Order: sequence, then C-alpha cells, then structure tokens
Amino acid sequence: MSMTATEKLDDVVTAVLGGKAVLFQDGLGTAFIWDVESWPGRQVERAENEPTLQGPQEAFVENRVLNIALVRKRLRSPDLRILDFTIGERTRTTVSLVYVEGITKPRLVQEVCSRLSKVCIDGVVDMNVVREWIADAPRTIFPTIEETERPERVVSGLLQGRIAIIVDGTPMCMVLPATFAQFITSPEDYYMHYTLALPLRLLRHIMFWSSVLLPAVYVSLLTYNQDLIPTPLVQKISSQRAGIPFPTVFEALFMMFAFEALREAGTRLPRAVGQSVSIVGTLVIGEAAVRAGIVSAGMIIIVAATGIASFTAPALGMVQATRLLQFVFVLCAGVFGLYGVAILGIVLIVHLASIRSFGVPYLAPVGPTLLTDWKDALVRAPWWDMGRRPQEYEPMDRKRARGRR
Amino acid sequence: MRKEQISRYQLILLLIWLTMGTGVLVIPSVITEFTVTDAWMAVPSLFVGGLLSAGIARVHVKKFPNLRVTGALLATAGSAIGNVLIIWYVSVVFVVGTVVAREFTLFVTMVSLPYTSETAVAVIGCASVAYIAYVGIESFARANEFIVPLAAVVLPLLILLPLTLCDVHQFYPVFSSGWLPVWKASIVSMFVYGLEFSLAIQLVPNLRSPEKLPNDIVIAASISTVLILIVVLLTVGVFGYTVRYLQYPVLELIRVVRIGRFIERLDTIYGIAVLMTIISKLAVIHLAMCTGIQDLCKTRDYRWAVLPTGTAMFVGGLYFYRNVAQMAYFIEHVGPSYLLFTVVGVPLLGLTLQRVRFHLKRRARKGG
Amino acid sequence: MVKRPTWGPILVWLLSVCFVVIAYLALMFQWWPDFQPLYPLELVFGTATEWLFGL
Repeated sequence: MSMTATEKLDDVVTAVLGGKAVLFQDGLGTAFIWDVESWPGRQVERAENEPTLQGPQEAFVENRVLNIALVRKRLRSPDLRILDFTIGERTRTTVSLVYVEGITKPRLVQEVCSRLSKVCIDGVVDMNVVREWIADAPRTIFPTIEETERPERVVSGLLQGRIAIIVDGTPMCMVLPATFAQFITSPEDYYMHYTLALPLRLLRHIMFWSSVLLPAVYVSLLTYNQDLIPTPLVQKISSQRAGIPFPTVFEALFMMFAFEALREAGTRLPRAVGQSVSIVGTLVIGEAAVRAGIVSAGMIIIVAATGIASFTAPALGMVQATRLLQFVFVLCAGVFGLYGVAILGIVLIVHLASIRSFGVPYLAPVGPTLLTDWKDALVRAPWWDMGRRPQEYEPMDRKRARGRR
Repeated sequence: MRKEQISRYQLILLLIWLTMGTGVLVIPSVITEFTVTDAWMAVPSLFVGGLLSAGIARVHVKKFPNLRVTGALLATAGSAIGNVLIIWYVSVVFVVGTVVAREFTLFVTMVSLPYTSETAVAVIGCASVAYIAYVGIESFARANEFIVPLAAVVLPLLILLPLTLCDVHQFYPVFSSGWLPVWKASIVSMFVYGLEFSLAIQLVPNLRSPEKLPNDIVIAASISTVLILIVVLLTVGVFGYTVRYLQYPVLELIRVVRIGRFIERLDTIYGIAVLMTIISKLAVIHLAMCTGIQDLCKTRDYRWAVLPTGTAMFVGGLYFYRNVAQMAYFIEHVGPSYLLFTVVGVPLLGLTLQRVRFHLKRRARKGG
Repeated sequence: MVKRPTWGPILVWLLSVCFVVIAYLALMFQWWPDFQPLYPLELVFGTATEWLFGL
C-alpha cells in the first residue's frame, strides 16, 4: 500500500473520487492519501492474443497497478522509473510512463513526457486514444508504436532502452519507439534456441511480403506477364480458368472481399459460432464457387495462402495494414501488371523509409544501415554474442553483456 | 524544419543508380553503334566523365561548402545574372528529366505493356516520382539502402547466368578500325552519363560530409564503370554483331538465359530492376530541379514545386520526343556539348563574373 | 521573419500548368505536328557537338 502527501485540494478530490482514503490532521497543511482502493477486475490470465509455446505465459489485465507490479516483478532494478500522468478531463485516467534510468536516452523521455502532457481530451477509454495522440506519422496505416500484453516483452523492451506506457483500464501496454522489424519478430524468437529463430524469422519476413504481394503477382502474371510462368503451369492454369466470366482482377477482388468479410464475421461472432462460420465460409463457399464456375481453383488457393501468410505476422497492427495493402496492389496489378506492382512497391518502401517513430527511422537497422543491430533483425544472434543493446534507440548504457561467454 | 541529411554510403548508392538507371540500357547500344569488337574500350570513358564531375565538385565544395549549384551561381554572378544562370541550369535539368521520363515510358511500353497508352504509364511514373521527391532525399536514400541487400542477391545472378553463353572470339580483331570509332563511342558515356554525376553538387546542403563529395563521385563512377563494363562485355560476347539490331541489348541478354524448364524468360524480372533504377534516377533529377526552383523563387521549401514540375517533366518527355529516333538523336548529338557547356561552362562563366564584379567594385572604391 | 515573395511559386505553377495543358493537347490532337520545341537547342548544340567531337 502506497502513500502520498499533498497540499492541493484538487489532488484530494481526485483521490477521493478514485476510491482512496485521505487523512487530514489538525494544524497540518498536508493531507496524506492512502491507496486503499480495490476495484473489481480480472485476475492475471494467460496471454490470449500473443500466444507462445515457450516462455512466460502471464498477460496484463485492466488494472494499472497490477500491470506495473507484473513489470516490477521481472525488473527489480532501483533504476526503474515510473512517471504518472492524469489524462482525460472527465475520466481522470492514470497513464504511467515506465523506463529504466541510465539506459533510456533522457531526450526520448522528455519527448514522450511533452507529448503526453499535450494530450487534452475528456476521456481515455482505451490505450488507443493516447496512442493516436502521441504517435508519429498520423496518416500512415503502419503501426509506429508496439503494443503487447506480455509483461516480459515490456521488460525486454525497457532493457533495450525503450519506454513503456501503461494506461489504466487497458490490458495492453505500449512500447516505443518501434521499428518495422519489431513487428515481424515474435517474443518466442528469444525463448527458443537461436539457430531455430533464424529460419522462423526468415519465414515470417517472406510471409509478410507475400501476404502483401501474392494476389497482385498472381493477377499480373495471369493478365500481363504469362511469359514468366513455366509453360506446363500456364497450360494448367488457363484450362482451369476456361469458362470463368470475369477478368482475373475482378475474380481476385471478389474472393479477397469475401475472405475479408468472413474474417470480420469470425471475429465479431461469439467464439464457438465464429469457428464454424469460418469453416463454412472457406470450405463450402469456396468449393461451391469453383463448382459454379465463378472463380478458378487457383484463385482460391492464392487467396487462402495470402490469408495464412498474413496471420504469421505476430503484430495485429501489421496484419491489418497488409489486409488493406493487398487491395491496392491487386488494383495496380490489374491496370499495369508486374511493373505497376514494382512501382507501387518502391513507393511503399519509400513511404516506410519516411516514417520515424520517436526519432528512430522505421526501417532501421537496414535503412539506415546499423550493422551491429543486424544481430537482432533478420537473424537472432545467440544471447552471449549480443553484447550491446540496439544502437538504433541510442541507449545511454550500451553494454548489455560482458563479452563472449 | 529539420535538415535532411544523407550519409556517404547513401550518396554513393544514389549516384550509382543515377548512371545505371538509363545508362545500362542506352550505353551498350550507343557504343556498339560505332564499334562492336572494341566496345569495351569505350566504357572507361564513363569513369573519365566521372573524374571531370569530381573535379568540378572539388572546386565547388572548396569555395562553397554548404551551397548548391544554384546557390553558388547566385553567390558568384550576382542576383540579376545569377538568376538567369539558375534559369538556364534548371531548364537543363528539366530537359535531362524529360529525356529520362521519355525513356521510362518507352521502356515500359516496349517491354511490358504494348497495349497500354503512354499517358497512363507516364501518370503512374509521375505519381511515384513526385511522391518520392515529396518525402525528400533522406527517406529516399534510406529506402535505397533497404533495397540494396535484395539487389546484392539478384545482381550477381543476372551477371553470372549469361556468362555461360559468352564467346571470347566476338572481341577479335582488336582495333578492327582504329581508335576513331572508340573515341566516338566514348563521347556519349563520357559527356552525358559521366557529367550527370555533377547533379550531386545540387545536393551539397543535404550531405553529412560535403568535403568528401569528390571522392564519393569517384567511387560511384568507378563502380558504375565496372558494372557497365561487365554488361557491355557480356552483350558483345553473347551477340557479337547482332547487337546492333537490338533495341535493348541487355534485355535480350537476359532473355536468352535458361536453366532447365523452369528458369527461363527472366527479362521481366530484369526489367523491373531497371525500372526501379530509372525511377530512382528520375527522383534525383526531380529533386535537383525542385531545389533549383526553390533557390530561384527564394522560398524555404521546395515541396510546392514537386507536382507541377514533375507533371511538366513527364508531359514534356512525351511532347518533345515523339519517337525513339528523335530521342536517340538528342542524346547522341545534342547531349554531349549541351551538358559540357552547362556543367563546365556555366560555372566558369559565374566565376569569371565574380572576378569582374570584384575588380569593378575595387576600382569604384579606389576611384571614390 | 524574412518576407517571402509569393509571385515565384505562383508563376512556376502557372507556367507548368499552361505547359502541361498546351503540350498535352498538342500531342493528343496533333496540333502543329512539324513543330519541334527543342529545335534551337538541336541547332546550336548539335553543331557544337559536331564541331567539338566530330559526331
């Protein structure tokens, strides 16, 4: 139980409204606030949204104090700093900024503090309100702040020299700054042997790009660049497509739209019903559409493969971005073929390169090249070889481990 | 506004794309027009042109370590004549941009989309180049860095695969008709593509270490020379005299490659790589033009100029050069002296004017 | 604060838009098909190239 002293009546009001006990003493200009409140809430449960096979399984809950305790349990350093902000004129939500002094760059802390203090809104019902206020590049579809429900992931972020923001009432935590590579890494990469992490990360990178490009490449190959497909395969595909009334672009857009609708229905429906809906959707509708000659079997395979590929990205924000990008790429492929896809690809990469998350280039460590950070980008070096913290966050204390084992 | 800066590595990459963009398409066909067996001897002229650019860059960064070409012109020639010189410089960059934009539309329509109107191709090209110029040099340089690992995997493959078809006898006899054809073949790569490196001087305020610019130009020039040399050796080695009848010898080179039944007709992939470098080249030219216009209009930012001038560049490309022959004539017969005059002549004019103004002022002070 | 002249950007925009509209219409409807806008350049620098390099 913690206690704070205050001389302001405003703080006393806030404390009483927040369920705290206040102790006044005659003749003393100071009031003592005791944290005696106990709000109804969940207990700590398993991480549902970021499941892993190995590693810790605890997840954050809606209680900020409990969440901070979950972090503190893993990081017992006296340098752990927690700064509280009260945001929301009516909700009076407490937002905690967590960092490790001596590791995190002080200018980063200042920047985040100044952004947080600029938030001026009547209510913070979810972390996203704060996130949209403080994030860079507000018009991009790519996430620039990492979110996680796993306390140990927050701790590893803090040890990299990053900052965590815990918002009361949200079972998630923001970790910032974030780079593109971060959204392709899974916490599990660090819990398994490093030799296995490399192929898995490679797979995820390939899957990310194919979830964006696969339907577009298929459409442009069938519409403009048939010469790139080996002859036996092109014969097979064209025989499948015989009698299908739509151009490949419309076929693709139709199937992708249907797939997205099913996916959305699957999330909205209660869990038990949702699964059956997605099974009915994919199997029955797909099969029937092929039988009826509306779409070709090849297209079903491509759209399904794209869906699977997009689910390999561990971060939900990135998955949503790829879902949207697919459509743009398919439209471009339908009009300009592979060349259109390539041009849009350049534009996409330039866009990614133009994003910064709290001063850190989004494509770091590849663009700009920071060779020491490549140890934890595409590959993961063994722990005993990652002696330095990532340079992209410019930590104060660069050393993480002392030399090789 | 935060100053956008790029590192030396990023600059070298940009400069390599700048020559390779269209150079890899045009230089082999221009050189083989004059000589086939000795074509490889004409390639080092690109390096000589790069040295010339580096020399000019050296003079520039010594005198004006944080000004662009257009800023330096203003500083040397005074505001009235300086503005005229800037207009000339911007117009030259614009014309170079129209040539490259026309090469872009021609390349895409000829190689991949014969039934799509050139306007549509120009629109998508213009949109992407304008976007890149809009986000600025720093992000673009970072995106380039991101592409490099991919290029590093693809490029050796594209070079190694045709090697099996190469025939050394295509290079004999050496000096089949003397030095003159080699000299003539060298001119375009020396004075058009070599002098294009001097566009980097327009980027001086955005360089993290401007004093190293001449060295960076030399490094970029040598790398591009080696790459183009490999391409010319391969095309001549594979095709021999047939190379004269090919529109894009490099594409045909990739087209003949096949391994087994599945790896064949790789020219589309190669075309995409070329397309990316052309876009990159166009973006640098566009940025140079917009920053020149910024100096002309004395505004703080160049971004307002991106859309109108970019569109004008692409439409100008379509309008100025109605067919391949007109464009090829322009590159070969107008380009060398046009760029030589602009890159060497105009700065010299500026420096002379500075001298004259200096003396006039001193005389006026003495007289008064 | 420096006074920023505004005529420059307006002029650049106007010139570009006029150029784009006229050039594109000329291209589409084949107005003056024999007109070569770059002819002066070709004349001056074409001769110069021939004289300098013998091309």
